[in-house]
Amino acid sequence: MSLALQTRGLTRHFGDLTAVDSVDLEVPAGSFYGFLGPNGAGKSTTIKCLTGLLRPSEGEIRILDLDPLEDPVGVKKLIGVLPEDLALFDRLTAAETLGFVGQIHGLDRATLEQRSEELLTLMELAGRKDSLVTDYSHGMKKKLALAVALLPAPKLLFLDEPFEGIDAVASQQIRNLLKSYVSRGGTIFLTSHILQIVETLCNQIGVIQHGRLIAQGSMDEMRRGTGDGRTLEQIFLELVGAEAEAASALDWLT
Amino acid sequence: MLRTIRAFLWMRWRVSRNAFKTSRRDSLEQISRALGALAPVFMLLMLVPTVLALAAGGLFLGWKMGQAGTVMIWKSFAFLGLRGGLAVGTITVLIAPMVRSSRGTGSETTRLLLLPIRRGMLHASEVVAALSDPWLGVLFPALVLFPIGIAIGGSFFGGAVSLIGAILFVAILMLAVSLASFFIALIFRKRKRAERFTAVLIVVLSMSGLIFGFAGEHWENQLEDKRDAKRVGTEAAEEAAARDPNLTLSQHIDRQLPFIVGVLPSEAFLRVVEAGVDGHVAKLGLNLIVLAVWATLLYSSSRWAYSRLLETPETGGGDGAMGAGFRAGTLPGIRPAVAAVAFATMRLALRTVRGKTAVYLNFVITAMIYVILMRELSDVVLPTGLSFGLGIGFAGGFFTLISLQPIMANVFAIDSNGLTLQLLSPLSTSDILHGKVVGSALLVAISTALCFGIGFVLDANGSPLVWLSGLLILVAMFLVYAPMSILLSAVFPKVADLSRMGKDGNPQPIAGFIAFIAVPLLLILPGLTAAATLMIAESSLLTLAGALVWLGVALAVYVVMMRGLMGLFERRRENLLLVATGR
Repeated sequence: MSLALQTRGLTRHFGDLTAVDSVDLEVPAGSFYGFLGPNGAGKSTTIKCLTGLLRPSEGEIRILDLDPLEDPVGVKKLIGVLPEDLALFDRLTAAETLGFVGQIHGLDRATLEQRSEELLTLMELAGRKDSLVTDYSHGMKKKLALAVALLPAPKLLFLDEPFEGIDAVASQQIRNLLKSYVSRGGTIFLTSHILQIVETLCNQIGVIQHGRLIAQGSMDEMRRGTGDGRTLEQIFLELVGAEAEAASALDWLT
Repeated sequence: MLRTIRAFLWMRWRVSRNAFKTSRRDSLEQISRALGALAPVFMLLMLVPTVLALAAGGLFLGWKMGQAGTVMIWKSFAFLGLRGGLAVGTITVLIAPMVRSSRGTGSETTRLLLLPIRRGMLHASEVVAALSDPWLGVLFPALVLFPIGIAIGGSFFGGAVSLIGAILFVAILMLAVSLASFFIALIFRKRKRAERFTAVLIVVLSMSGLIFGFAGEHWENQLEDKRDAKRVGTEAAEEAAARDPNLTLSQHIDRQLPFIVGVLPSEAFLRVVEAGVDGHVAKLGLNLIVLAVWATLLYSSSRWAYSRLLETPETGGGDGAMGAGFRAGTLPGIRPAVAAVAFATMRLALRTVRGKTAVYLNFVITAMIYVILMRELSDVVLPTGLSFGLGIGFAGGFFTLISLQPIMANVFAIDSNGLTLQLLSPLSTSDILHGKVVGSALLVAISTALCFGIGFVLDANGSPLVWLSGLLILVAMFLVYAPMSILLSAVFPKVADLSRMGKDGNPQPIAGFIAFIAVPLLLILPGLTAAATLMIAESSLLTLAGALVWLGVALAVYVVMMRGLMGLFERRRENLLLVATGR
């Protein structure tokens, strides 16, 4: 099994806080990998380390057989990222944003225009492509950020909460698009709190809690480990130990 | 109400304090923030002597006023000074919210609406918060101590009613400040409208200093005539006061002023004081009613404006199509990736108020300065090769470097989330840094070209070699200034919105100051060389040779500095990202 992404002992400290603690990820090429964890577990920090926004304090990373610390530009040519802050220039238009990314990735003009038009149409942004990003709603910005991530046709896609703030119709279209992307050999590393979506999309799961990877494997392996017939939500709650807490808590709340 | 105010004060204190607390920022960033925070503290400390002097002045004048029956002249002078001072103070207090709002709305109304607090209470909290306005804060102690001085001076009744008048006047000022703030905040609810307002404000403030000079002698003569007339009027009033000792100087001047002046809050307040000290009950009652009417009107208007503000959502207001389609832009001889960063930087700047005014306003101001200077210097003979047109063009380029300081000295953080996009893209550090330099160069080039163009149109004389030398000297200055700005931007990043005036749009104060003084310092050596070759050697060719030497030196400095900056940027990139994305 070839791996699109592999980490060994990935660790990141912020002062005294260890946000990511010796994480060993294995993401098979062509898989749809769901990276789950409670709030503050270290998901976004892990993605930032993997995509070169943060430098790991310790550990090794291999992305598509390249070391992002040694060849960051080479790795970035092969990946697409939808980060949590969306990473868009407020005062560029959607068309200019795609033009910026396309030119940096070396796309020729015809390819850039064709892909941009298709992506903007799919994201229902074609009618607003010449408006400034600052005037977009949060959902529109997220769709544009996704279009930016997809434009260079990356081999590996990092998506941090792609469905948050997206309407149901667009969500369905994006899910179909992502499934099609994986079926054609692409690899997706996705974080989401919407476990129903993760369950329908992902064939590989990793669960992180307090910065540590507490489970990793295929959906079937996860079910085998916690009992057959269980939903991903049940598996996740059991793994992070959050099932029985709410019932007796806050008894003053009427 | 006290509980609410206490909660608000606590919240604001914690927000300020917590701004320094985060384990994610590196120590250099914490030092940068601390230095940045020292600037307003320093300004506040500068205000303390002013507040103390005004408070002491108020107490002293009040004390003299309390002795009015025996020292009539003091009462007259005190009134004249107070009338002028309070009128100017009132206008300043009302103008301040306009400038402040264009620095940032500071509005947390949505969050406040969710709290279990009645709108009336929210409104009252905002009005009371107007006391934290520095200008009002400067006036407040003097206004309170003034009636106390009157009482100490012997007029207890005068002191008591003056205190009532002072309280009403302060309330009027607070309500007026609040009303002005709410109206401006309403304007800022729509992004485009806000940007237009800020642009107009910047243009008006920039131009105001030039208007008198531009209007020239004609206006000056007119003003002088008016001053003479005023002096004659004052002298007449003084003579009349001398002839009729029962009338004060203020009373004589009053007779020359239109009726409407008497109902202005500052005037009504001082008439309350005068009537209280003199014991004129009818006049006292009338002017107290005037103050009460003002307070009621302003309260109602301010309450209405606040309700509108709470109910008006923020909108962008910019649906118009713009931009360059899918083209990022290319430049001959520049790598496409570098050009993409450069054009993004240029577009971002030119779509903000600060960027537009820095680039497009310079040549207008430069042309106005030329017209003014030519009135005074038209007879001056310039050294051979020089011309006023070249001087204007060069001055324009020089001021362009200074006025682009908010962009160049904070060139990473102004990208906001766009910096993340650049760091996620397959761009090398060299691409990003050179892209920023080329982007800044495009901005400088647009503005400088406009200034040289207007200079050439107004006066095309002078040697072409000297014209070229002027341009080369500017390029040499830019080549040192650009990496210096990159250094400042990397060491002192600060979240900034270039569509705001003041601190919200400015770079970190230390970075801003260094960038500001760097431009004239960079001119010294090339400027002296050019002056020596033109004035002593009287050779245009030598001027050009000197400029070329400095250009070579600047290029060497640029290369060395940029190499050093690559490593610095790598070390600072995580921190830059945190700052740019507002964390």
